Amino acid sequence: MQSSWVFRAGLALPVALAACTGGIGDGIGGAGPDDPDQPRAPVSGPPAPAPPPPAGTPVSVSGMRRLTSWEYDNTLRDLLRDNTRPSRAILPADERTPFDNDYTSQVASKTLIDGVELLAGEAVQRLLANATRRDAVVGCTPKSAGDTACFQQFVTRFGRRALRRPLAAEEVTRFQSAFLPLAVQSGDFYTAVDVALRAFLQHPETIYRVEVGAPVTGKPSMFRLNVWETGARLAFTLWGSPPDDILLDQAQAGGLTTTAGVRSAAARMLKDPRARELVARFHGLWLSYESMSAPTPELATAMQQESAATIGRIVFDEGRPWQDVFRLGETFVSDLLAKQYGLPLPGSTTPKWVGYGATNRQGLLSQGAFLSNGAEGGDTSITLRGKAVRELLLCEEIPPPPPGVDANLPAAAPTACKSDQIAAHSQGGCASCHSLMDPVGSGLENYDALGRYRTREATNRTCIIAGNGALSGVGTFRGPAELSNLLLKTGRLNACVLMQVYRFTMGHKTLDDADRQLVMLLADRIGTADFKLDDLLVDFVSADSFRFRREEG
Amino acid sequence: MRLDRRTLLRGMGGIALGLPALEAMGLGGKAEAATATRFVLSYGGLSLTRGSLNADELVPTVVGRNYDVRRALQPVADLGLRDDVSVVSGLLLPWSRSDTEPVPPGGRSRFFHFNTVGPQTSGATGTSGRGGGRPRGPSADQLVAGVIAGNTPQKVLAYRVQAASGSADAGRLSWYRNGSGTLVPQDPIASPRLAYQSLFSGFTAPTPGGTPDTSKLQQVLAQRRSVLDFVGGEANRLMTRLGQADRARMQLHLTQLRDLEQRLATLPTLPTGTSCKQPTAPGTDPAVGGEFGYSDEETRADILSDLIAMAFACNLSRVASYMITDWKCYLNMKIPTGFSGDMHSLTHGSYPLSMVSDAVAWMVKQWAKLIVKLKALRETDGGTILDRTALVLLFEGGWGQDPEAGGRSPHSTENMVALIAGRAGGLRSGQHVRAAGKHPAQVVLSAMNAVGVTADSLGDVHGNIPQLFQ
Repeated sequence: MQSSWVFRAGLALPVALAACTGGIGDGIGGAGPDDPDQPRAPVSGPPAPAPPPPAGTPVSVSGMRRLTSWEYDNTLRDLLRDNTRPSRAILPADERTPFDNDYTSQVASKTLIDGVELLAGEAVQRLLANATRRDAVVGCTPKSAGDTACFQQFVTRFGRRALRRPLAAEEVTRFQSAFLPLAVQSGDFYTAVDVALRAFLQHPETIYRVEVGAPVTGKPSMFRLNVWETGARLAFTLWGSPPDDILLDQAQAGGLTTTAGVRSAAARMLKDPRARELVARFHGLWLSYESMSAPTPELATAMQQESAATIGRIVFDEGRPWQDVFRLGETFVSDLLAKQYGLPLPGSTTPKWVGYGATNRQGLLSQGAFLSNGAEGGDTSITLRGKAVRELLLCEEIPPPPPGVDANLPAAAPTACKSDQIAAHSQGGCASCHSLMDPVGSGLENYDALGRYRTREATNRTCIIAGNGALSGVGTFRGPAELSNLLLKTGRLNACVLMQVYRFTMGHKTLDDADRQLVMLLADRIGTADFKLDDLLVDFVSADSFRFRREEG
Repeated sequence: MRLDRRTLLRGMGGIALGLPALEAMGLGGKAEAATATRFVLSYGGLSLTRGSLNADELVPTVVGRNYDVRRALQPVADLGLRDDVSVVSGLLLPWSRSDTEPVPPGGRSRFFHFNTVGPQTSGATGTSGRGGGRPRGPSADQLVAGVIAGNTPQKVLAYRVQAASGSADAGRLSWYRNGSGTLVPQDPIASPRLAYQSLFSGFTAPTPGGTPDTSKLQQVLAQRRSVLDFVGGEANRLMTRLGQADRARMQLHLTQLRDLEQRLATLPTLPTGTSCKQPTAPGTDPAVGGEFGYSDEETRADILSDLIAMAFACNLSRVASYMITDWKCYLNMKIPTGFSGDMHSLTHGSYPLSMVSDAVAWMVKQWAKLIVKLKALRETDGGTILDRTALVLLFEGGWGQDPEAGGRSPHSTENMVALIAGRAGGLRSGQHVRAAGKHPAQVVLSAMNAVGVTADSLGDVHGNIPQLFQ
């Protein structure tokens, strides 16, 4: 079943990332000379050819990526201080791969255009109704309705944030010519601000992450990102949001042209709450609980926040190895969730850290968010739970039943236990695949789809849940704590999360040779040892590979 | 079939000549008939039974008129629509038995979820293997719009009732060929608020006995157009710097920008003396992901169906793609029907068939609510809009042989059922037609013929179902 090269790579070279402080090296890190590329005006003619990356540097294909609804909401938050997060269910749904940012499946549609127009109009309306926010965004006080200087200052300043690069003088003039007359006509400076902001929020360079770069000498279809594109790539990778003024200033000063410069910028960015949100979102999408449902939205949100807090504490607050996310002996619960899990009540409606004690729970896999995987008909599906573990945490693909296999099980007695029904999967043609899934799901059966511990089956209380699980070829387990330890022991978890981080970062599920080479280099470097996720991210974004792109086709 | 230049251009939707023309061949019909017809293509995810059961509760036992209404069809009776809705049963979507055997015309591979929608809505033969959920030809709604949309500002209204789609393609129903021949989706609008904005913003409600002050409205419209024009110009400039693949993406974006700009520039006057009445703005959308993940899809369907009906009455559109749920439907049915889980797990379990039937009935109900509205709206000649409309509701599967997993399961395209309503083009509604072995796309083709598309095939599927006109 484990046909993936990743597993081989992950097991081949167990070198701890913690030892890797100067970049990833091996052709993708900072081994090359400092980038001689200088910031340049973004729209002033074709860029000059750029020198190639160090020999052997794998360079990924990248295309224009539309912001996801989450990223567009972040953009409204950061540009306008608008925290309403209105985009979900207005912008078109994105393909789940399980991530929601695969640009190869994005298509501009009427719904997108109409949706962005609506969102932009309403966001600007909200802004203009709030003088404090409005003045902060505009940045100057107009002396008259047609105050050219103030309008130019606003367009220049805001435009740099919105388009993630400085505007050329002719661009500022275009905004002025198109919109300032409306202010004069209406006698209100903010009429021009209104329409200019709407234009910015619908601008293709706001809605899409556009990367062009400079053609690399001797490498057809390879391009070196300019400093603004590097800054935007950095910001969306680490924050899911546009660059802030500090990052733009660093780009302007040439600070993103060297590995050291990018490392320094990334280190700052990882201290920002936006990085924490992004890392939490990555896990939620990867482990399929970002869109989970529960009897009440409050319960679903509490569970998602519990998992986010666990990840944030390990990765950011305590700087511990990422693997500790699966080992943590405490969890972040209010009375609501503590009751759910049978934990001592913290006596609070807001969450607090509570020890798992002797409940045989540990880390992320013991939480309701992850355990919502495999929910079926108000209960759990043993098979789907096992499939989720195999596919999500080990990056394996379970094939569908082959042609000719009869998937119809003999009719079970209405009173049959789930374990008896599952046992039928171990017969005949079903066994080869179900033996990978069912023993895993069986080991989680003592925990229902809302994370509650149980000893008897939900639909037949006379059936005692054995709760014995096995990860074939690795070992046996009972419950999520022991499963976590087994998964960590396989070493495959490292390789799997690495590949998922790569897919999430680069915005495409399908990997080509260069992608695979990049992931293998990282996987070999990490091996099976513990690593710190923030270190990994810094290494990844500061690598030479990160500052180049190949054109599709 | 020969096409004159006018028909060809209509089939092309007015865009550059290319591959799209090939799929419009064979499509002809009324150009700008004084009495416009309307077309609605709908779809509900998953199948009609559960587990390995060989049964459903959608198909009446009585064939012909005055059919009996069973549990899954109950909303049709409850809403007084039995004489307006026909049931076509015994349909079959063929498949290839192995991963190497060619897919039969209009058929699918042995894999279920990704592959049963496209052949039904487009008639185009599916791909072999697992597929990716995308059809291989344009969907019927887009083809019909090429013939009957006339000068309506919205050629196709694409809406989806299920608010939170599990995945983009699973939540898409409407596909068209763009100017360069690429098959692209028209993403459905899932937000009633956006649907309203997209359809009715900019209009002034007719003021009986007076002239409304439209100056403020005109100013807002002018500003919106000005912004769109500016952004379009920026997109044009950007395009020159992009590589080929990104240029194609930006071109599509630009085309849609210009479409919105054009729509705002040419807002028609809402007709008076008809059933047309600008609806009240729906306000805030129901929250996405409430209890059990439910997003108040009932309310969403109420508003979206209102908008479709009124768009037809106001001649703002004549074609709708009205998707009830995703394929592989993960809509949680706890609030709609009381079942503690999603539609997908419901059909795979060993629950009573009645539970599945209630879920199917919920989908039928959302579709039927639109029929009620079309029936209540009058044309200027006194007839109803339903009299000149054809609506089809398709499902993802039926019951019987499952070539993916073997044995019997809901992952089957045997014993499929389609519902068809309306009286356009002589459709004789209110009957149960057994159409053993016929393809669901033949029901769609029948509806297309009814609204004036004179084609004798849809994709690779030939012939309508004559009994529907008898």
